[in-house]
Amino acid sequence: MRHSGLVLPAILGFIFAICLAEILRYRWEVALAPGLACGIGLVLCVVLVVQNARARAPRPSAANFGKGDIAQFSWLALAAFLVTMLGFAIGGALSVFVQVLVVRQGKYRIITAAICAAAVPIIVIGVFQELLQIRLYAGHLLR
Amino acid sequence: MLDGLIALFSSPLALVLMVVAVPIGMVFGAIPGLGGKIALISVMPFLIGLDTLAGCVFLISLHAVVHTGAAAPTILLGIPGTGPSTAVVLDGHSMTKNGDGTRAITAAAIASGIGGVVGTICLALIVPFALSLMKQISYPEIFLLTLFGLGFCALLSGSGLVKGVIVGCLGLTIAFVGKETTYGVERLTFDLDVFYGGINLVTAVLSMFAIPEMLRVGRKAQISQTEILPRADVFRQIALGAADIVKHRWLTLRTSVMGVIVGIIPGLGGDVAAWLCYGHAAQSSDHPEKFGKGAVEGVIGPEAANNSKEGGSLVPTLFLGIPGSSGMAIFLIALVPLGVSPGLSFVEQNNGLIWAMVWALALSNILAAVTLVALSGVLQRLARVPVHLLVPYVYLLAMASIYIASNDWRFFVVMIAMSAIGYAFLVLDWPRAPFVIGLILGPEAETSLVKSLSIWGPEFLLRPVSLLMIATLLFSMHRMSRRLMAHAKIAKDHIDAS
Repeated sequence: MRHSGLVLPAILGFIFAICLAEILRYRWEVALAPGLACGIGLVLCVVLVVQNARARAPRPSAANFGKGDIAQFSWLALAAFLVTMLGFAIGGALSVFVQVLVVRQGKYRIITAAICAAAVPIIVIGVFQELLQIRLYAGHLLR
Repeated sequence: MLDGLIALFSSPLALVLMVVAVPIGMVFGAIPGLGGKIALISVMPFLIGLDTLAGCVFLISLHAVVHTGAAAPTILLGIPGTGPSTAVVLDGHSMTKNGDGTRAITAAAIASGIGGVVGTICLALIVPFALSLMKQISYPEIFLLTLFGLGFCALLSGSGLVKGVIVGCLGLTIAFVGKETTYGVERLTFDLDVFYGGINLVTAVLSMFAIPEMLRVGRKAQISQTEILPRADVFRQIALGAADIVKHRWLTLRTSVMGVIVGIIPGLGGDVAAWLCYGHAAQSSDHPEKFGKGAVEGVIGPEAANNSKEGGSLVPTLFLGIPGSSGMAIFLIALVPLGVSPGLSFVEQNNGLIWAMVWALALSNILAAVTLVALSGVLQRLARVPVHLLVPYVYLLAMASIYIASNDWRFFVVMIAMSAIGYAFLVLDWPRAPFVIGLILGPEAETSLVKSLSIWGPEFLLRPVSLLMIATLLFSMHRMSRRLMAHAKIAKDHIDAS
């Protein structure tokens, strides 16, 4: 798991470096605070990368990135995609239906998934729209 | 002071919401994986348009009682409901295994109630003095306070100072995205108009806390198989639990006060308060050998501190707008839909509201303690809720909060990108609290730094008050870190021994 000790500080260092390059274009009053934050962040990221790279033995790490993480992240991405395209009421309900259907085991999983999904448009329309007068995003395809 | 009580009791909506907030907060605490931050985030979309007093009372009551609710799964099932509850699990669950579950729950509930009330009394004592004290604080002091808040948080977040500072710097950097207020320059937007208004706090905090937690919960989906305990000898155990508090009254009071002090220092959180007081309880006990095997002091100490800390952390949060903990940072964000922007001027202009919040804090803690004793049976059933089924709803609630805050669907993309970083922090055991502290303190730190430099130049750091503050804060940081390490070592020794 030696890579896990290098990749995250390297990514963060890259972010700090890009931000620092952007900040250099501004006048000092505007650049001072973000420059300090990015500068300190970048230096410490480099220190961490060098420390981890020089370590002779791989450091023990809690990191176990794998298919499970990708699957979980896919659910989030799917929910965001469906909400973006079809809005909260339909896209949200669809994402809940699919996720519960896959996650839930047992005989009544289709009924459970349908009940869980049905709660979403009821909340979006009944609570947000009617009660709180808040119109949530209707979706790219349905606007 | 009485204005607040009158204001609270003359608003039926505020009273109803306070009573409603207590069971909701306790349920969020009782379901492992949720907790105070998720509770605040979940109710945020429903706060828009709510009366300010009623909304503030609802939020403070909701957040104050989360740890009280968390005692049920922690003690009965051995599953910590919230992060700080991990300090209770060892002795609390051992008591359950010894057949003293209800006794432990009662002791935890009463200790939490007393802790909450002590925290409120300390807050009430501080309010009259704090206002005049805070008026003496100028830009250099605010800058130093924000820096040290971040420093404390990074130092004590438990994953190494360097990682803590890096995460804090990331939070600060995100805080600086968007239009700079003094010169109107657009910073760090990379010519993307989605960033012109900055990355709002709701998006950043949800992506860093709520969503990574749900990603983890979804991955480790499991339902507790522990049997529901029979309700035998309930009254006898409740009496024993109450007697434990009377017997250990000074420990309850000491740990309550310690919790308040930890709460006041910006950057420290519930974990620090709970473990500090667990260590103190073990150190001051006549029978330290019983710790880890079902010592009631191991329940009383952390539970009292967990709740009293909330009163203390309201001091920097309300008076300076500097959150005392990551939970308080989200509390600050949750106040935004209510039109509340904490700080000195807010406190001066809304004295009645502040006192109403103080009263709500005390009343909700008492209500939660009584409810916990009365409903311990129901709460242990709630702890068996399959949390992974809630995951898609939390995603949708998070997206709803982000959309309401930004009115722009493109922030869903920002959310996914930041969630990836937040999840990496969680899995690789990097601290996330410095991120939110940096995010909140960023604009305040920048304003006070630029104004200090404009008025005094770089010599502002050499002003006697600044030098005194730097010396005091460095000294207290050094002392605090040493003491924490000592207490943590004692607590760890007991855990290893058991």
